[in-house]
Amino acid sequence: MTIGYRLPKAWQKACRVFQLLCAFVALFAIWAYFTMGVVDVTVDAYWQELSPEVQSAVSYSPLKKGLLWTISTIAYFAPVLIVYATFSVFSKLASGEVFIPPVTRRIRFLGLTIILYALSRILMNTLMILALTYDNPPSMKVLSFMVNGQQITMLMVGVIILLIGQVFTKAVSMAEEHKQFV
Amino acid sequence: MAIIVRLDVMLAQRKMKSKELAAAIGIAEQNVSALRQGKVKGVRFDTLDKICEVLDCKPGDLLDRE
Repeated sequence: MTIGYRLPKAWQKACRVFQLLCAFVALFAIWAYFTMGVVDVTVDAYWQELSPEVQSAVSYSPLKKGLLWTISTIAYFAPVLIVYATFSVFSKLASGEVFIPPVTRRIRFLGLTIILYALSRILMNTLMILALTYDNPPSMKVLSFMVNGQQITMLMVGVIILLIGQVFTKAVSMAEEHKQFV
Repeated sequence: MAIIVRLDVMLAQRKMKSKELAAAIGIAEQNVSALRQGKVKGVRFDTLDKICEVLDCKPGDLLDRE
């Protein structure tokens, strides 16, 4: 199902360029994850936020290491998912078609990934600190919750993109209905 | 939908093919086919006007309601 409007050739080429850029960024991120000790750097950064007494009480059991690895990995790949979602939007737009259901689905998915990223950033601080200190002695356990403006902004951007996707979906159905008038 | 499109009848009476009608009024042949089969949701007035002009008929000759 295709409706009328197609992106100009120049825009299609630009989408192809951005698609390749997204692919490069995603591949680099995956390569960096496996070669640059991302998990260790992340865990160390949160460990540094603890007070010296709490730091000295932190131990690393296999379960804790697994928890920290899981949380760090999910948080690291949340923005990579955004890059993949952006890649999929550009790849569909590069074909020239705009008002088709696959494009609207991918835009909505992009909005969702940005929302998930924002939520993961909000929760990551709490979960990492909790994971580091959950088995500390009673007075050495830490629970923290932090929300900053950047995370709220990302959340709002994700919601806006999701809404744009919803509007696009309605536009596609309206255009399809319009097409049925000769 | 109770609206009947009698374009087939008019084309037969005027001995014209749908391809020729499509070319004459400037719309795609598949749109004329869709109109003949009643698979459209509506017809624009200017399209109806052009069809009537080409087929030398009135809108009532093309559209009916059962």
